[in-house]
Amino acid sequence: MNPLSERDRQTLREMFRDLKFPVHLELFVEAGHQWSHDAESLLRDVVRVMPDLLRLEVWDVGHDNLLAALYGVQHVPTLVVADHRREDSGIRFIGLPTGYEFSVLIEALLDVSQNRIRLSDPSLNFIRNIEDDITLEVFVTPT
Amino acid sequence: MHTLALANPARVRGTVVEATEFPQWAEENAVYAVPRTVVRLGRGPSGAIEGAVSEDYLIRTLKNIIEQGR
Repeated sequence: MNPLSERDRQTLREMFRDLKFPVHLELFVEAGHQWSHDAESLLRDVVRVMPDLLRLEVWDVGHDNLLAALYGVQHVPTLVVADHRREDSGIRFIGLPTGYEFSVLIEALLDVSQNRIRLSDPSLNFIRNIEDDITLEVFVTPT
Repeated sequence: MHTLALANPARVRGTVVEATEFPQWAEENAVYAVPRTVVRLGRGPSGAIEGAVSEDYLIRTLKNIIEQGR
């Protein structure tokens, strides 16, 4: 897998100027698993662009199974995005975040960092008052 | 979808799944075109949304799924 190009890094540097508070990226991987390795390489490249505000922790599901269970991790690689207090934002990326998924990831990092919720007031009110546990699984492909 | 999770992280989880890495999971959820959003209430599939949709449509669909789940 190709690492980020210098042009990619420059684009990210510009986008990450809007980061406000630190974001924690908790990546769950499995030793010897190619996509886990690729995801870790990619995310290390991403956090290197803004190391003061983006913090990556890599957990092996073989060793850190309790933490994986706490986050409900059932597949690798799984990225859990947590806010500056290291509280779970509810956002997960499962699989190697490339293509469309990569741009969604960058937007998610910016939103979590700024605590930016891009919803109208009525929609926000509805979502905040949901009392059921809801999971939205968005299936995408790299292109 | 992640903005919905941010709005209520205690209740809503927004997960992006790279379908080609998990073909069985995708097949179980009838993913033949992307994006496809599967909405689960608790355990088990409760509904699905095809394609990129507007916020209004998404919220209406979620309301319907929650109502049907009761």
